[in-house]
This record gives sequence, C-alpha cells and structure tokens, in this order.
Amino acid sequence: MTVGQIQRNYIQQNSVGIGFYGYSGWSGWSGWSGAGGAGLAAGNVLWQNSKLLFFDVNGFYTYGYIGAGGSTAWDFQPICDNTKSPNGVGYSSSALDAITGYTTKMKINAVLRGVVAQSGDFFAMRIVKYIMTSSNSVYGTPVAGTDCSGVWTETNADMQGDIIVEGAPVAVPGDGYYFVDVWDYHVYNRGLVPHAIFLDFVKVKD
Amino acid sequence: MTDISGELGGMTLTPAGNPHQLIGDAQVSSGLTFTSQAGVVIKPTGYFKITVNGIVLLDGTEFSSPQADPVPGDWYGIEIETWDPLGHIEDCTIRHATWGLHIKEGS
Repeated sequence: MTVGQIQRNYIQQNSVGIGFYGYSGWSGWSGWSGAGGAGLAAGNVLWQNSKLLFFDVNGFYTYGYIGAGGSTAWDFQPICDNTKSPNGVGYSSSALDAITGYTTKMKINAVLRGVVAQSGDFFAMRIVKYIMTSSNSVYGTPVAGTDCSGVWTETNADMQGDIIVEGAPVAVPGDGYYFVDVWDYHVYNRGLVPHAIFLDFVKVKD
Repeated sequence: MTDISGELGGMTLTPAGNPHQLIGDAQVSSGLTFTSQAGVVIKPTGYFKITVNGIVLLDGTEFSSPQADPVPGDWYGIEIETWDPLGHIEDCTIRHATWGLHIKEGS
C-alpha cells in the first residue's frame, strides 16, 4: 500500500477497527512501513470500535516475530495525516514524506479528538498487550507507560479533547497482540461520549 | 435491491442498485477489479466476508448491518489478503463487522 490508498474512511462500531494479522515480524512490515501504515492512517477515523487496533505480533500463527535483529535505537516520525473528525473539526500533521526505512519497531500515538471537553471530564486511555499462551488463553496487561488518565480542568466549548497515548510497545519475540484501547472516557453528569480516535502511527526505524 | 455474493471482480456497483445485499461470502480475485461508486450501500445479511486479492476501487461506499439493532460482529468485514497498488478505499464507512479492515501480511 502507499500513502492515501486507504484514507478518509469511517471505521465504526466494529469489534476491531483495523487488524494487522499474520505479519511475520517487522520484515513483513517493510511493505507496510511508509506504505500501508501511512496509507491506513491517512485520515481514517476509528470510532466506537470495541478494539481500535489489533496487531498480531506473536508469531503464533505466522511463525515469525518482531524484534529480531532490530536495534533499540528509535527514531520517530509521524506518518499520519488526519483530516476530518466526527464533529467536522480536522487537523493535519506533517512529515508524510519523511518515512524511510522503518522496519523493526513501532510506536502508537492515539489521539482522542472530536470531543468538546469540559471541566470535570474524566478520560483514560492506554495500550494493552495481550499474550497468547500455549493453552491459547489470552490475558491482557497495559503496556507500561501508556496509561493516560486524568480530569479535564478547563472549560472551553471550542476545545477538542486531545488526549494522547504514546504507546511504545517494544515488541520482542513471543509478544502477543497489541490493542489500542480507550478504556474509559467518562464525562461526569454528561454520560459517555463516543470514542473518536485518530491515529498517529509513529514507526520506528533501526 | 440487488443481491451480491461470490466473485465481485468485474462488477461496478452504483447507487441505483441500493441497497446491495451481501448474501454470502464474496471475493475480488487477483487480476480483477471491483468498483463501488459513491453512495452505494452494501448490507451483509449474515456473517459474511469480502476477501480482497484484486483491485478494489471503493469510493464513498457504506458497509453496515441491516439489523434493526446492529452490533459489532454482525458480519466478518473486509479482509485484504493481497493489496493491489492500483486500488483504493476512500471515504467509505465500515460498520458492525468483527474486523473493519483485516490486513494480512504482504498487503
């Protein structure tokens, strides 16, 4: 895939918004890096899905894995250009042309937008890693450092919710699945607000 | 109302045929092109999948459950086994599937 081939779609109310499946290690993502990744991220809106993203990085099915031979040096580049939101408020990021050679690791940068935040709003997002065991049972644990929660302290009718989860799931051989999961966006006295997630994939190169 | 299933390659859907009922698994085979124009509505009537190996030209097409009370998982979704670089999926809405987009290795 190349940038923009899958763009400006609303992917809403699915069990999983977008699933990447069967990728046998980051080498398999070479066709994804700067290509599929950006193509998918370009202006797509994932909204109200039970799970936003699903990455099979286990090798359980693929006999591959992530992290082999990769260095731990990180270099982040945003590769997403989100251009619309459910409430019509768009924004764009840049650096679409700065993608080269990302092959080994990935960082997920999910931004909750499209919500008019008010004072007292509570939010919580995190990236969750699921491990499939030999017995095929699955358990999930939040990826350390990706919890993001708090109470909005401002009242600004024009302000978008802009909650950033910067997950850095440094995938290693044997890792399971990664989900980006908004586990709560709770607005006191106003009920639940639909989840509107805009994805900035940040890929990491060797 | 138009029923579709099986090989979609070679087909062009237009809004005039709305709603298009997906009444079985469907696929776009390698070397073939499936076109769906803006305004087309596709309603999977069961847990069906659209498997893509050919070229898809999807513009402004809505995929959603026909159920009165739709839920995630009413249909399988769109599985991209092989992505043809001539294709695109733009301005579409994909709802009520298990997988909105299911991207396989090599796509």
